[in-house]
Amino acid sequence: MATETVSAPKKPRLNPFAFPSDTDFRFVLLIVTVLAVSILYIDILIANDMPVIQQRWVDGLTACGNQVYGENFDQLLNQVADSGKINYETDAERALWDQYSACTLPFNIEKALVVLGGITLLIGIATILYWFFPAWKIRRGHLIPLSAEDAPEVVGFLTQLCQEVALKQPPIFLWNPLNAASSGLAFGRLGKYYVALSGGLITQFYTAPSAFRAILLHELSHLKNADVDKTYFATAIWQAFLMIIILPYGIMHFSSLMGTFFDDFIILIALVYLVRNSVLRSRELYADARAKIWDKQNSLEEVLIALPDQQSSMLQNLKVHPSPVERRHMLINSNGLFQSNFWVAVALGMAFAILNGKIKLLLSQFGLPLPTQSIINSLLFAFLVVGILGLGVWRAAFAKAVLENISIGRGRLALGVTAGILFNDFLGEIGSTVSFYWIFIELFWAGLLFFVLYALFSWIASTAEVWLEVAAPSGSPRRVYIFNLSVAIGMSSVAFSWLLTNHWFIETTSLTDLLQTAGLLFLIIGGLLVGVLNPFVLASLAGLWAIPMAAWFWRKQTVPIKTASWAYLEHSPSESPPTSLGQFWQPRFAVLTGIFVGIVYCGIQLIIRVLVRVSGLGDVINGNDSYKLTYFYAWVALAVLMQIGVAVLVSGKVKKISWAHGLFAAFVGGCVMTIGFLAINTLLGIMDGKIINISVGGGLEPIFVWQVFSQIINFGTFFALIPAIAASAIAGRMRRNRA
Amino acid sequence: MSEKIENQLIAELSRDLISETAPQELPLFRANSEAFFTNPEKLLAMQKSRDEMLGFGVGEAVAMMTPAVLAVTSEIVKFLSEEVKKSAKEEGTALVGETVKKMFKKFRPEEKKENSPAPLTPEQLNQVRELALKKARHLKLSDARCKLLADALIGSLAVASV
Repeated sequence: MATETVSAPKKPRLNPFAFPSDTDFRFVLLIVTVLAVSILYIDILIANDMPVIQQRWVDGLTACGNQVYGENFDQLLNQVADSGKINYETDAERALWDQYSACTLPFNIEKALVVLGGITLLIGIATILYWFFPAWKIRRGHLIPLSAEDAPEVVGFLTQLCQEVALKQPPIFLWNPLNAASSGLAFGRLGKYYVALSGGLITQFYTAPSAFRAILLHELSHLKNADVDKTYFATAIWQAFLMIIILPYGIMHFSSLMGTFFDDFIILIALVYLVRNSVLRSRELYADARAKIWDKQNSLEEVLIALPDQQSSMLQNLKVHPSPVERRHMLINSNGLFQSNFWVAVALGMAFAILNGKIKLLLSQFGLPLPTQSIINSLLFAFLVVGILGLGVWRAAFAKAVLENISIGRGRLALGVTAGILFNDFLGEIGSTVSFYWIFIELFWAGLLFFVLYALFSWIASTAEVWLEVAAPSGSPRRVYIFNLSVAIGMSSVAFSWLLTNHWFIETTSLTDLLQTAGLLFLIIGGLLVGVLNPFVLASLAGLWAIPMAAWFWRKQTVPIKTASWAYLEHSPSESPPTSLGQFWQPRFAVLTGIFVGIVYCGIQLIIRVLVRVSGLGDVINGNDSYKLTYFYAWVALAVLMQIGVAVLVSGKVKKISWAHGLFAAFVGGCVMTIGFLAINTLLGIMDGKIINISVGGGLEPIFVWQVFSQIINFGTFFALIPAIAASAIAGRMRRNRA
Repeated sequence: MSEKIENQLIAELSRDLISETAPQELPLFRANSEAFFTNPEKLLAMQKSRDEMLGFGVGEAVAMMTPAVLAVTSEIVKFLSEEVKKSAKEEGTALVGETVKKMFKKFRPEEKKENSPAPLTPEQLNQVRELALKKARHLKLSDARCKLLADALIGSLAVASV
């Protein structure tokens, strides 16, 4: 019988099941990666190996081109070949292009449907493999039902164990008495699950009952964690991917694979393979964590110690099991299950980069306009980044709030995604000449992406901190994180839309000199300034403070996260009753300070504008459009500066999510400034006799009101963001030092 | 001795030996003996770890006694049959099976000792022990298990009183 140590862990373990597991994230990532790589290769297969479909498409496009453009079609094709896009100079050119697009739409749809057909086939085959795997496994593994006739004590024990772990649907226990290995396996398909026991394991029931129990608890934990379907669908989609995509491509393009495309081919297969393995490894850690709940005698640890190949190696990523050392480590201390993984972020970046272009192409084949394509792409990116990595940040923020010494890994995740996208971009340029300017602008864009992602993850972490306190008294944080992350997807998609559109510009422009590079830089920055007038930008920027500040409405129920019933796997250590954290909120202070600064701004503007009017300088300004514009932006600039000031002031004073209080104060101040600006403008206009009807040609035309409001508020929030965060961090540090 | 009777004898003796030396393997005995009589080489070759890719972990194979016990018992029964055949050529092969069977205590009723065949001599017993040890070692059982099995086998045989 195995030696048993009865030493319960000193500290209760954090509950990794309060949030969706890494297995779920990686499973979604696997599906996205498989789809991305498959679309890429199906496209190549159609172009090279399906002459009927490809020729029909080319013929269709040529006929449409000749019909619409006539002799100029060749010229158009050359333009596309040179610049990668169509330049419309006039409305007539635009009309021709629309006519051409309408004509080619059926041919494009036909081709896109073939791609979608390939994907459907892939998923169909994967589903069939997944569905019939249990039958194949039972047959191949010579598995037979474990009956009470064979081993009555074992069957009785297993029935009791299923009741102990409270499985809704107990599995069917099978065994292979001829298999000497000491192992168990949970497998099955939707609604029908099995646990297979080897002959070697059955003997352990008599010789080492605690080890037997530990292994069975681990297998039943897979069922409890509901990871069996994900696991077997992951293996099925990998097999289908090899069968439907890789094998045909490898056979058809064997000669080119031996040449320049070999690196691409291997890297993309490796990407899918490594993501699949990461799904399979992750589930084992979660099953161990779950099994440990019932394993009071630490037998699982003993069993893991007895496993061979203890040390993890560099090749661990190639394996489907984590090393026993890693498993034991996680068993004792589940903190590792809350930390984000750099390589998952890299894989996500790569998968999206592959998918991005292909989805865009597919959408364009369905005739969707560029802005719609851009929105869909940015929503997809936001969904992946926030849904997978953002949820990971929530988990890490939870662990940090309880343990304090956990790294959230914002930089690691932002760097991972950026590196993944960059890697794919540079991979696509292997074999072609890349200009220094292209590399420069690509790295510049990558820097912007890193910054946006870092800011996004920081924002998610801060928001999670306050909302987790709201969720602490409830039974689960589920509702709270779903709401917050859904909002984050919408908000971040605005920034991603700007970034991805610029990335498309970089992809489709062949930069050869400094002037072109400067032009593109201007376009990127200019897009930011133009975007300020967009209502979605206003909503996103306001969301930065509004979402965390909205937790104030539930302030009376907020309690420390460590008192939550769902915070620990074992019994909560909290002995004292939880105390409310509502007193740390100071929205009233933020509002009053904002109003005060806004009134000061209005006062300054009123005095200066009256002085300008009295001095006669007003006539000079009004007489020149450039002066008028400069004068207008001078007031906007002052408003922005004063908003930065109030944001810094409030961020330095408030103790709880001070930066959000600061931005809120800036927003309130901005609203007062906008009202004051418009009121003074209208008042002076009426006094001058220039305004007869204020809503027509006067100071309160809706478009003018929107321009003033959006520019003051958006520029104010945008430029106050970093100073507010800095002031919040400095003040927090000073407070800690004083304490 | 017909194959069926021989197999039955081997199975019965092996089961007793298993319950004595490795009782934890009793639930596996029926399946193992069936597999052994169908294809002994295959069963013996299967005694390596065949762990599942997605199973608990790559564990070591449990060293099973059952296949080895079946193989050793089979060897001993064959040896005893040969010995009986050599000493009683004139009696015909029909009685060989019965004679071999009665050489084991299990099948040798105390009250009918006078009708039973002569028990094995100490030399023969020694030969049986050496043979069992040799076969068990060949099947890569540990020294302790080889001795345990050989002793259990000898213990099951009837011995001539000195």
